[in-house]
Amino acid sequence: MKKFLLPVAALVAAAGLHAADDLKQNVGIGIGTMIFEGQSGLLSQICAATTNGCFGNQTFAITTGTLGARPWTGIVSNGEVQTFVRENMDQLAREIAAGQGESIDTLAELIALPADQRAEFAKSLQAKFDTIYDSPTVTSTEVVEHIAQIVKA
Amino acid sequence: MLRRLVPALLAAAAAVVSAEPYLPGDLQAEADRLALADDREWLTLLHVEPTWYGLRRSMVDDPAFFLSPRGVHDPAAELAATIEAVLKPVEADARHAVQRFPARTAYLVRRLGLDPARLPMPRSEEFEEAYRGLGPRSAAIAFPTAYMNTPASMFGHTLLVIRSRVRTGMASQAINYAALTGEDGGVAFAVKGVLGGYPGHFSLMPYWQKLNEYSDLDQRDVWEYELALSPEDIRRMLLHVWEMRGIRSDYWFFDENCAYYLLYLIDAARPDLRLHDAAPPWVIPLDTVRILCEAGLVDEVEWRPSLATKVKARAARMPAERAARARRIALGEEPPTAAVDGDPAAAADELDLAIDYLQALRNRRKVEQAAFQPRFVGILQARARLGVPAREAISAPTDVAPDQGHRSLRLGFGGGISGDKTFISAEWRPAYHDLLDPAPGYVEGAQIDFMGIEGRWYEGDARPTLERWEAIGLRSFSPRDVFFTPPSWKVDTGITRELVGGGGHSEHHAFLDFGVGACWSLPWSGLWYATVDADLRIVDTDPSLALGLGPEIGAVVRAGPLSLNPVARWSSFVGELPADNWSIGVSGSYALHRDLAFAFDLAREATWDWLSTTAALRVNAYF
Repeated sequence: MKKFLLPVAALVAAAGLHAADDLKQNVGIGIGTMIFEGQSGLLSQICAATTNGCFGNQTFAITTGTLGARPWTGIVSNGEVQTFVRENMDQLAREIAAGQGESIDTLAELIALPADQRAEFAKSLQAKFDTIYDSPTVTSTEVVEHIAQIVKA
Repeated sequence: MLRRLVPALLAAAAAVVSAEPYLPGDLQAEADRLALADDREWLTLLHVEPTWYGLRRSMVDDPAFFLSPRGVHDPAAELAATIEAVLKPVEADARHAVQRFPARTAYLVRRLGLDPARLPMPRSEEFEEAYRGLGPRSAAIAFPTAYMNTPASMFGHTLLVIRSRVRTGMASQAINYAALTGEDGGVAFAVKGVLGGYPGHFSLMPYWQKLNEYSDLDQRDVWEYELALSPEDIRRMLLHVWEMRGIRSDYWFFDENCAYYLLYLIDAARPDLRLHDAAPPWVIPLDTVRILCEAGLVDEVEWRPSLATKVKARAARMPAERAARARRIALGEEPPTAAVDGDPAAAADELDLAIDYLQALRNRRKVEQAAFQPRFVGILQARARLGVPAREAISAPTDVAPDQGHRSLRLGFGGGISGDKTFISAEWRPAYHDLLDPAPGYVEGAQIDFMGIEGRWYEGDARPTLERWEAIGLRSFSPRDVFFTPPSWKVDTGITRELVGGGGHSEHHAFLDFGVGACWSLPWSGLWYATVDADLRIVDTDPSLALGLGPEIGAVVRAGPLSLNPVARWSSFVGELPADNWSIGVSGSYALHRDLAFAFDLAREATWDWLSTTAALRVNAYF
């Protein structure tokens, strides 16, 4: 699969990043979305419902920080690949299984894969699903690593 | 000769002067001459609005947003301070005002005809770098629809999405205005939210984070309205967002909320539009969408179905046996290989349904992590082995596009007969939607009536009387099916006029009615529901409290513009004021137009040992 030459460096570098990552950033399937702690129970729902028009998710606003606290980066970085895969673990897994989808396209963009190679990229990920998700407890950094290996191969 | 020489000399002189810095006094004089302190665009940049007590005040509460200590109340002082700060020499250890306030700087440059090269700091490099990084292509408003059964939102939400030239939609930048509510919950949360007790902030995040939150977790479909803004408009908007970074404003649930701030961003992009002037005093996210559509600002509409929507749509388009098996596969009752037969495309669709459903169950914490991981990966493995793409995407239900909805303020006029008296009636309901209002654009089974008040003038009475004041009237009727079993509930509170036994005179009673139950879809359009209600009354006699318990059963039937709501209820009041109250009747409406409908009520009821019949007819108009 030598045709994916260009993004190899980006992916390999991204795969190498996890050594420095926190443990908490290394997220498995089914965990990513659990960051959102919602209030449950009918009464609190009603109380919240009457006030919560556009509050959004407060937990998230705090962890993400406001505009002032977070640099406004738009440039592709290796950290972004890690972040993207971590925050979209389940979505990416199911799109790889289906052989298409917006998450795969986004991943391809983050690693600067030329547009004409993206369909092929999605197909090869689908074919290698068992290798990428080699265990139910696979983590996001392992997924990035496995994808990098497939692209390199 | 001399006449021709003078302009030439002047031009030459100007060329020499051009390297010279501007003097604050000159610019101030020019700004005064142009009356910039009262200029609409300047006031928009400062978020200044006239207040009810006649003075102008900025809606922004953070002193860091102003260069002048009097800036909150005094746009002229802020203008003078800004001119001074922009002309200040650059100091190595201090952040220059141009870096911090590039929108105000750009405004002054444009209106005063300044040459940036003559400014100590010609442009905000911090902003320019961020702007290059964003590479904006277009801007869109994202509207996650209302979903009553999550705490997140009843009215929906709006956020701004900056789409990049190169990235996919989910990798756009989301600009979100939200309150930081911390760990508060319940009553404190409600009170502080309404009374501006939380700080509101703009925050910036990848759009996928908001999509994960809304469409996956909250089960809310997301509508995206791409805005007809030019690259210059978008740049002006981002300049203003930059100035709002880290700035706190008290978040008021009903007016200074996300929808309100969003209109300010659009006004910053297009100062000629003055959208926030057009906004009603209560800004609801849906109103924002409508205001933008009516201003001709919407180019294109996109729709992202939530997991729940996908589950329902996929199940509806495949044979029932396949849908039922997909459910069992998601629940772990059958292996994923059970779906794989001679037809890979159909098997793929079945497994995609199982995957959607399992993910939805996980998001609702109906499946433990330990059980989820192997089951999810197992189904995905079977799905990947099929090697076929997903079936075509689910298409958007255009009849419920939020911009199709009626306006939220309702005025109703009519008359009828109650007991043996005729009456005329008038109703004012500021927000937002009830089950019999025109259905397009709103979520089926969801009702939020707020502060509706109806007065009636009965024949023979000297003056009109309050018939009903509904402080809050909520319905969340979400149909149950084999996949999802949400609770249905309702809350009504306010004051109502009721006939009382022993002569049939009327009294005003305060009520708080709470019901919980379940709801199912009708085989044709609509739903039916059953609830058990607890009804607390405060009446104007001694003893004054009564508590009623009993069932209610009803339906909402839709046939084109006609909606019918037959209801039967029975409530046994216990305690100090015993009575068996019941009612049976049907209400309905016929929509002539998005914002105009006929409505009627027919009811036979027993209230406090008095039997009566009511028939009423109204014309409802929506503004």
